[in-house]
Amino acid sequence: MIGSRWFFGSVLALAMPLAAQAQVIGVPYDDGQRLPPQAPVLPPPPLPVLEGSPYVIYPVRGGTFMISGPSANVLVQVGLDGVLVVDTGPAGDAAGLLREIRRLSPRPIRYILNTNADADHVGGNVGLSGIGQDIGSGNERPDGVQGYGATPTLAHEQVMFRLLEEGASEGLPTLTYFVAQKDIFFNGEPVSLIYAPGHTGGDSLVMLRRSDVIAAGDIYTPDRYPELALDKGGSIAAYLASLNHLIALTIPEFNQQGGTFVVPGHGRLSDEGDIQDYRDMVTFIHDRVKAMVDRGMSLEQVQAARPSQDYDVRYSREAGDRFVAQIYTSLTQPPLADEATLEVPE
Amino acid sequence: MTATHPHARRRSGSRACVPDKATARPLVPGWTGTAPTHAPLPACSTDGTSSAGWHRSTRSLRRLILLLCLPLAGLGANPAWAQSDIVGEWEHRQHEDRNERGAGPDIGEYEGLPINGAARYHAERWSPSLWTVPEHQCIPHPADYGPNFSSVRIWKDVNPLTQEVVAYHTNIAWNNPVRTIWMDGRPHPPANALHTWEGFSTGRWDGDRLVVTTTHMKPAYLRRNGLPRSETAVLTEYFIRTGDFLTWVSVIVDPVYLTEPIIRSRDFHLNPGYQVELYPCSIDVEVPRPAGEVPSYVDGNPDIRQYAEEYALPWEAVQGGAATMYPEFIATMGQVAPAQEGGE
Ligand SMILES: [Zn+2]
Repeated sequence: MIGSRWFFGSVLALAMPLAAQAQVIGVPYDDGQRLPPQAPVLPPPPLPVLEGSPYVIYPVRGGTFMISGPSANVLVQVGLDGVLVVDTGPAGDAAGLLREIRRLSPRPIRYILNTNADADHVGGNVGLSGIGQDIGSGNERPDGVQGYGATPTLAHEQVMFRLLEEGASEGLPTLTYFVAQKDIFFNGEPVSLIYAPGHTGGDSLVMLRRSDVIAAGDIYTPDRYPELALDKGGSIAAYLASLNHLIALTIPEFNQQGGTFVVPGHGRLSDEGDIQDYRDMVTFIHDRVKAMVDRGMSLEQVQAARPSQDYDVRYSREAGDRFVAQIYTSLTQPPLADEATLEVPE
Repeated sequence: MTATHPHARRRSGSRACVPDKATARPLVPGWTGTAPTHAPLPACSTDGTSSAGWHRSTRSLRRLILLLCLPLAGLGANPAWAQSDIVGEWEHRQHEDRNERGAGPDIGEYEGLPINGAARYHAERWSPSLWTVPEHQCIPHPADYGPNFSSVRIWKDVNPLTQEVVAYHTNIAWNNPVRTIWMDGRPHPPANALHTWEGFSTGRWDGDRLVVTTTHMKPAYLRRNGLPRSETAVLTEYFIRTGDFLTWVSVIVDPVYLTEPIIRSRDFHLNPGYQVELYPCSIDVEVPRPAGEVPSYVDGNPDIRQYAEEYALPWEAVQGGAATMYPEFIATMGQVAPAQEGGE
């Protein structure tokens, strides 16, 4: 019987690495993801979908997850400090969204960050903030920390101005910024809101520096054309600058993919390899429209020339006409007084 | 002399341990596939009874002998589900698709490709200088283009507990992209999962052919002269081994830029000494440009007709489109004006 203990020990030793991988939360199988010679590390597969749920949870890296449903994407970061949520979906979906967040962490929601003021990005602020609790952060510690009750909500000040203009009385940002960047530290990593207007005048990118994950909001929406909300401070110049700023912040690992992962406002989880394609598209269409504007063509003439036709097959003719009209108007109308200009890093 | 059928070695009962199919679970409702069965492997025995409690019966000598023999029994057996094998170093014979190798195609060379007008419009405005933009410099050839090009190394991952092939991998020299072809029945991920240049591939054996389906490819190109391929494309591949030759057929279906599938085939010869070269790629600013500039021809490349003129080809032919794939098109070529006389 000398062989039996040795034999079973060997079998267990062989089996343990597989078992250990299978037990990693949110990682049903990630063996074979890192391959010679230098294949980039890719995110694990999505979590099983709850019965009847419209959401899919995509693990991104470490404690970060993209929750993707019928509306805007939500980035969730979980850890010992609690839960940080970037964008909160439409108001009516808050309960369903919370159910998904609770699959990732039972801890309080400590921070809500909004990338813009659209209803499908801030609608759940009310529903999610009541269940959180502020733990304070540096100099921003509000009065009555322990009994504060509501989750601090961070956004660019333009988000607050717009929500107030629209008559909102709750779900407003509680901490706003008006400079280039607003930083906090949460769950062991720096978290930055980076002013990146273009879709509106109040867009932010949210960068999780240690996780190397960025929520791009509607500055990057690969399942549709950009929406330039010109009446809300959006512009094609600022949009392109912000998209290139996003590219400057992302660093691919190998083969122009992996590395920094980006959660778009709408559409698929991405890395720089996807964003450059989108940036190229926006630049090409802008350049074509601008050449026509410079020749004095009217909007009707520009639309008839169909300068977005090679991408309309990907999205739609109607959406292409709208995007071309937005670019045309943005290039020809006098800029709004508060229109953003920003420096693009080299 | 007894003739041995090449597949006679395929025997049933060669699999030492069959995972319980009941444990395979759908990850997402609506997915047609199932979760992999290799991670939470249930133990099993040749007599069909569950051996989940085998580790508790260490005093049973009979059982011990049976268990000790199982791995040995597996050594001489070939897996019943692998009808052939494609592992090895394969040298590209380069007998087809000359245009996709080396210096590549000319600008405006689209004949024989079932592209639509949108693809043509895009390619007419595409500038080769795009490759100098830092974000474009280290892009590898995508799964649907790489096999045109290069010799390839193919290897496989085998689950040591079941001897099942979990995945095949391929690697080509240009930028060293590694592909994974999952063979364990896992589903393709839902729509918003990360897309990669090589996509998400699953394979199954259809007789002696390995049939591979690939989705989730990043938007890329059909040809290196600006013809685009969208991220919605689906690639179906057939790996057919005939002795020391491997035929690799790719069928690209792209509802965005193609009106019919593009079908490409290439032959490879087994070359065990072939070494895939390392391809380190560093991203550098090669051309100083204003921030955000992406080169293109907004009004179309002024040299777009040069290819047709140089080879005295009809303009309608080099414009491509599904009709130009078929022999019947040749009959129409005499009726169209050569490019020199074509209207500008
Ligand atoms: Zn949105």
